[in-house]
Amino acid sequence: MRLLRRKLTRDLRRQRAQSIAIGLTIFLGTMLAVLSAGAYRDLDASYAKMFEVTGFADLWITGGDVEAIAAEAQDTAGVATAQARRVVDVPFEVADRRFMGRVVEVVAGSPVGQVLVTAGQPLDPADPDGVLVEQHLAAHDHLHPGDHVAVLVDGAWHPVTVRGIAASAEYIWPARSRQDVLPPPGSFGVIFSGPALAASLSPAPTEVAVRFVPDPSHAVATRVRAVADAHGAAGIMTRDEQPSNATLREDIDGFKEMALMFPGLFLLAAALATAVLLSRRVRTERTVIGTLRACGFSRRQIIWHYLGHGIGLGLVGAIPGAIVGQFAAGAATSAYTAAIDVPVTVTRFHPDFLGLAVLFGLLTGVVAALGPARAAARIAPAQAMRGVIPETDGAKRPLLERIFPPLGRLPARWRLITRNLGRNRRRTISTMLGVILAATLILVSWGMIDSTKAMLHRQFDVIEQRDATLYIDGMVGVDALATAAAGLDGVAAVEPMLEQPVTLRGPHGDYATALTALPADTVMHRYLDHDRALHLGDGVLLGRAAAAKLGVHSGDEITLDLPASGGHFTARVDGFVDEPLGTLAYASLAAVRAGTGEAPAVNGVAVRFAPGADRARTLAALRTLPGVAVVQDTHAMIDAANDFMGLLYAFVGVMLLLGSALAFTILFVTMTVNIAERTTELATMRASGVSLRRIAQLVTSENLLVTVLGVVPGLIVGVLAAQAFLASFSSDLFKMSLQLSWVTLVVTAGALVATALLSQLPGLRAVRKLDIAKVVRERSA
Amino acid sequence: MTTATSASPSSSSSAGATTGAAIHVRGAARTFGKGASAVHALRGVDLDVEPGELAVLLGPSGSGKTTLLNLLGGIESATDGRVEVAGRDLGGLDDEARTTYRRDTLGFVFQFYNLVPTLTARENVALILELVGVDDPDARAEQALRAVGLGERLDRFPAELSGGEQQRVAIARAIAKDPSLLLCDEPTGALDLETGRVVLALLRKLNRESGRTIVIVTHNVAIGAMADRVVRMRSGEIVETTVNPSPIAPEEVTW
Ligand SMILES: Nc1ncnc2c1ncn2[C@@H]1O[C@H](COP(=O)(O)OP(=O)(O)OP(=O)(O)O)[C@@H](O)[C@H]1O
Ligand SMILES: [Mg+2]
Repeated sequence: MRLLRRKLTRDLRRQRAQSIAIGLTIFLGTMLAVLSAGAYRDLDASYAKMFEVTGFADLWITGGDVEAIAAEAQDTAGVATAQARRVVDVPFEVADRRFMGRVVEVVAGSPVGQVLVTAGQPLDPADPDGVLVEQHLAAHDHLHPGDHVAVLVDGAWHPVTVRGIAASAEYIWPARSRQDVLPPPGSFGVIFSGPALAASLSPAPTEVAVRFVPDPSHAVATRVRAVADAHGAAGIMTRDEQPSNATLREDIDGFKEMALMFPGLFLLAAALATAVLLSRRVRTERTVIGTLRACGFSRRQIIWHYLGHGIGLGLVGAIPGAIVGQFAAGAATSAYTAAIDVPVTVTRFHPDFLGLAVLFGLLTGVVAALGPARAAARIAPAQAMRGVIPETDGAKRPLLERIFPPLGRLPARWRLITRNLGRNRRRTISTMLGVILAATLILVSWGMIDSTKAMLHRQFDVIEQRDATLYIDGMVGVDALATAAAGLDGVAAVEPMLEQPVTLRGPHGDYATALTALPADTVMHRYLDHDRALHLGDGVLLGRAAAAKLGVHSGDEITLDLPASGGHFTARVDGFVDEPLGTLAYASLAAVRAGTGEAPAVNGVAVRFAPGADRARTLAALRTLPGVAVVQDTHAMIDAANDFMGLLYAFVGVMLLLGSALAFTILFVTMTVNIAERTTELATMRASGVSLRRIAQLVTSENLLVTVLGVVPGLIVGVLAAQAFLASFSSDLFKMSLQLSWVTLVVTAGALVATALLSQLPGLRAVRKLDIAKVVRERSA
Repeated sequence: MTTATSASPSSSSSAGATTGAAIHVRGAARTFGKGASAVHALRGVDLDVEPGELAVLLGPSGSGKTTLLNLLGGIESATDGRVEVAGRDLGGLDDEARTTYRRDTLGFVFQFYNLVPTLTARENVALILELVGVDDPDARAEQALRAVGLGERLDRFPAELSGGEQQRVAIARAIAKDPSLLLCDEPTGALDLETGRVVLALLRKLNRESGRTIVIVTHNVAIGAMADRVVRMRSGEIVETTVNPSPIAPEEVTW
């Protein structure tokens, strides 16, 4: 047995390059598995810690009789705290910039809705005009304790002093609302205040933040909902729906998916390559195995010997992979929390993930080695005496030629190539699978880029037609403002606009979103059902995702609750629009008037620029108009989205590398094995005077053919996988349909072919160095 | 083999089917490794084979037969001395020139037939013809196979042929491009007496009918009786060369 073990290590060393390639693939697979699973759990724990420290609520109830809801919810079984508070959206003026911000009241001593002060002083009742600025806003405008900002109170700018900088679990991701989770930098911000400032903005509390006892039963939420409904609440938001939490969840769920996808792809690739490598070794060692068997080695010993190869490869890759993955998980978590300013970072040791990763790495090796090992054990001692065994599996016309006879009339060298595909079918299939796996990895990630681009194009070029939105400060009438704006250079059109939170109530449920009302003949927005244009009539148009959430069809009636004005009305659903970002409700201003029975409280002006207008100048001119509180630039959203694209490109770049590495491993192993297996054949050709160039052509054509055979299904599988992947991402906030340009497909195919050409180079070098004399002597000795 | 078309490399070679190549080896040595562990496979060998002769290299295992054959075939080079075949000094040829030399002048037959299992007999022969750029490879492959008596077995796969038949396919593959020198390393090594005789008879026929020079390496002393020239080797040296004026017919060889 000791000698066998020595043979094993020598074998692994002899096929060093292949063993390293496989070990690296297992390393990558297990490393990425521990990295993504560990990072997921660390981030989850970091958020949980943050939630604990700041008293993140379980439920938020807006509208209705807030005081009554708070009082009754507090007495509901399973509720730890129900805190009434004020949350008011209001224009801010920070560093000469005006935008729609939010003031959140922090109730002193409450176990719910607290903040973590990261710089300066906490709130102090003795300093009613001292506020805490949420850290993202502070970072954007370089605000420090002692700086001043202004808040629009009753139409006048009211200065407040920054006491400190704070982080809140509700704004780890600074999202304005579920419909607006990616506000352009500087267009949104939160200020935490004591009761004085908040009360000057809203005399009564606006919402109840409810925190359950630990490990609450489902019944608690149901009971609280009943309380809220009884007092006419307009909206109930769960943690899952909370904008910051929902966004971060989507993000870290990505880690969870990667924790499955990566090891899946990489370990599969490693298993295929291992199986190919070991099958080849067993075949060449037939006589040795036969001799060993004749010398009294048992089948079991032979099986363990070859399983040992798989176990060795699996452990050599998985153990360092798991360890590096553990460290990388901590590093990734810290980098992530640092990047998005999570003030609490929890990183842990994950022995279970480490163990699982090593186990799976080991299993990969064992499963891959099992087939070859059993084949080895089946070899009879008598085979040792027989020497070279003539291959018999190629001794018939391949199916393909029988089906398609013209193939049989190709020149012999082409027939050699096509028949070699069938000569070692398992290897051909392994190669094809490798190409398919790589194509999948590449297309899934590239699909993200193409689809995101297409999504942004649809949202901002096709659907959204307004260039800016003016929010009014209430001092000047909308008509006057609109007239003034229309008179500016570079402005092509203006329309009055209403933007308001709304809760849609349908037979299957409620859905909280925003209502945008514009004139019926608006030029500011296009309403598209796929590519069919819809028009604003006397009903409402809803985002497609609302259909299922509410359980409504076109033509049904739904109720719209407007919590801001306390009004509600019933309207017919005229159709559903397909919009990639958000699920909104649309109506004409006339329809809102008809529904509520009063003139809608128009709160904005939509502006469209003339072609070729100087955007910066026009925006600056709009800002100086009297009555304008905030000018929101649509393009700032596009810029924010483009920043996000940068990250995506980096991600796809890494995926391309990983995909190529994966393809390389399988192709490299199968191609070198293919060439090694045919050394005699190639040596015979060389002895007959066939030039190296000819042989290289032959080998290359053969390898290219297998690759191309894999590329075609690979592209198909890749497209399907990309579709499924994007579908798993889609929600009511975010809808992407797969868009892959043909350029992407061509480049992917090209990259795979290039990888194939690259991975056969070592094999070709071996052909060039082929010692014909040695091969000939081995055979005739 | 008289229908060679003009474009083929073999017909462009001066050594045609009717003129066998002459072999002149002077002081050829071949050493493997260096210093104390050096193996002297050949220690200064002189050998002459006349055009059209059938020569047999005899000797015990390890005596350097294959090494000498490989020198003649240009797949190994002499560390010392001179090897000249068909008027060409092989020592002065680079790798590409050696390839051309093998393509135009040589046919190789090995102990194991080294046929491609996924190609039929005809395809195995045609493959090499195609790869070295001979015109109409299919027709010439068929011709070569008929010449070795396998006209009925053209479309059989190697696994469907007996060992002797496989060796004849290998011979057909070697002669199809009409070489002036045929080098055979233990061509009957894997065959029984009966089949071995068939192969030997075929080689004799190919030698007589087209005047090819043939060198057969074997440790089987009996085969020497059918040769025009018998070269005996021991420990890397030629110990005896006999010219046999009246070789026996291959059918009479026995062992
Ligand atoms: N690559 C090599 N490195 C070292 N020694 C070698 C090498 N090739 C051959 N030899 C040695 O050269 C000597 C001659 O070998 P060769 O193959 O020519 O013998 P042979 O007469 O053909 O024997 P056999 O009848 O067994 O085939 C042997 O001693 C062999 O060990
Ligand atoms: Mg030999």
